[in-house]
Amino acid sequence: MTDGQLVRQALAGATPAAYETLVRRWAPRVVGVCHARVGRAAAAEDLAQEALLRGLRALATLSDPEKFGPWLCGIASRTCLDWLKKSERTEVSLSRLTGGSGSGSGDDGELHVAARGADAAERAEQADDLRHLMAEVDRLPEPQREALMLYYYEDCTYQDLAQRLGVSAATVNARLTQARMALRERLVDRQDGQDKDKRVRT
Amino acid sequence: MNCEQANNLIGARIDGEIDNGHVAALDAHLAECAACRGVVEAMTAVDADLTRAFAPRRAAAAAVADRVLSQFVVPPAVPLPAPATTVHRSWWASWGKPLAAAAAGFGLAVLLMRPWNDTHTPIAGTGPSSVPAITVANPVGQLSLATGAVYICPPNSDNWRPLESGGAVQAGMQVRTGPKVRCEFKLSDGSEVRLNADTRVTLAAARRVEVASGQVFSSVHKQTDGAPFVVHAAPAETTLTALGTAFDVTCAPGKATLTVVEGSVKVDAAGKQNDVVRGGEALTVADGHFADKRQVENLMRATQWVDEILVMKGRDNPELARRIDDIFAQLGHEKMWYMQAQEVRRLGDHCVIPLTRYIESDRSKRTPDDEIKRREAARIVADVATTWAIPELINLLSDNDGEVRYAAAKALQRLTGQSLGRRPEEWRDQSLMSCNNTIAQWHAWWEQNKSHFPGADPDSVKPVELFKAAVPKDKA
Repeated sequence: MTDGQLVRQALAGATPAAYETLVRRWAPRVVGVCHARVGRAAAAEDLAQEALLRGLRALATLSDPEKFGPWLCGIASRTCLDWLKKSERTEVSLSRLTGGSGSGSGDDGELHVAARGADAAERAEQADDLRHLMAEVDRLPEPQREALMLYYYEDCTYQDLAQRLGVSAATVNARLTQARMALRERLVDRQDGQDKDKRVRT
Repeated sequence: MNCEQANNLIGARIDGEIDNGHVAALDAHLAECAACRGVVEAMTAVDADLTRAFAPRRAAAAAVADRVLSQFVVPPAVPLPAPATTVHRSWWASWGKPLAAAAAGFGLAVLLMRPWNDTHTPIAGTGPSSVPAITVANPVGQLSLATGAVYICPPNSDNWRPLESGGAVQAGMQVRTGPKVRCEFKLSDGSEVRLNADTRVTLAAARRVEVASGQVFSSVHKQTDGAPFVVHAAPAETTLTALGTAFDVTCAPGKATLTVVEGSVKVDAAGKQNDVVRGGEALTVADGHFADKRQVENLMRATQWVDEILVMKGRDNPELARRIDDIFAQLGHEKMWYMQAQEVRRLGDHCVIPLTRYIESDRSKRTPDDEIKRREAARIVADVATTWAIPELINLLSDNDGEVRYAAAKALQRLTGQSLGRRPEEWRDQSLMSCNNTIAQWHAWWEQNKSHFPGADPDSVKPVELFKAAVPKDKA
């Protein structure tokens, strides 16, 4: 069923399930949009929640039900913009500029792995690598970051992403490739640095 | 095929997006290029890492969906938009809303002219200045304003007697208003409780009001110790705990309706259900259950009975000023949404205040469609404003939207011949933060030059409030 059909069903009061389908369909993308905009996972979730609720409550004002997705993402972007302006994200910007570790996904508590024993130590190291990877994602140029976030937040095709971002599928392909290459390069640099440190210690 | 093309195809293959026609060419390139084979390995590893790293984020997104669905109350059905092929607008769509806007404007005029002041004299005090000091031991509040007789009665008694203006009320005292009488109590914690006509309450304690019947508006003073402000709606067995807020509750047998104007209110219905109702929302509780939670289209209209009390407090009352601004914002909203732009322009500078208040209010910031109307409103203001509106235009220079700043700057240039070193395009294209110095210069310029522009209200510019909001902390 298309978004437009679901919106019409929801407004007609036919079934609350229409709202639920819309929310579950769009929540990952809205969280992805917010994460790409504000660069902080926890804040992005709160903002996405607010944007989704705003969207549902304002559904009757949507002039073209078929454009529910872009309309909702517009609300999410605006919600993030207001939040960024209000909360003066200067410390985030500075840490991004200087490559500080305080940026981005440091609040990803889910990546934390309790370290017990040698195996746990390895898992903790892996978790640290993933945290670092997410921090590097936050430092990507915005077009690459946006494409990457949306791609990995949900199972979508290049064509879906192209429509969402207003670019061609080839551009989506290129941005994802550039993003992965950049991440690989930075992770290799980090690994080299860690190897050097280990040699110095030994 | 060069390596850059090969890299893109490698990415597409990992994502399952490669075109069949390119597979053979990519494989041929990989057979010859060791560097690109390394890229395959590297990108596959990064993809796996990213998939793992985003797994908790996807789970978090699903949790967000759960939270949204648990908080969202499905509204009643609304009429669907007319089909796109319909070109004729109904009588109501064409004229009804503008007439409603005009009616609202008339209501505003009535509010400002205060004709009721000429027709009756309040029995109790007519303003805060007339309130004498509280002399009752351990009072919870005093009657600060009333439009007629207000009666009080000790607990467990039926001995009702009139309360004088400024009279203090002890804890546990019952209070009632008669027909057409409204009043306000100033509580000892600084909160204000307003009673509509035919209302009966008990001021149980400093921050507890029990409503037996009628309608009560509470403007809650936030306590530094976090002490809750509680209104108990007895007929519906519902307890409302204010979280620093302004709200209205109407009680009927077995039923209570809460309307939250600012902040939020925690609602507990007979211990069976609880929820938090936020500003702009209303909730009806009937027989101990939540019956209906909804957005309130027009908060000021829903609570307009308190205007009579606020007007008695004088023009300087900030709550009254906020409500009047909102009425103007609503007028501006209706003009922008239900009239053609050309029709609005024909109103000339009469539309400047409604449109400016609309631009400044949350009414113009709710949906992406609002942004278009908001900018259009700014362009109209810029085109029709005359010199009296200069302070309004200076206020708009602090707007978050560059297009609004651009329109205001163009109008200021037209009306004053000044740009203060910043072209209108720069107001649009550069960040608000970078505009701060020039905003300060415009405020200073206005202070020096306002006497040259008779007709402009020197007090209508809001330099302190808006300028502080626009200046980063390290410069403030």
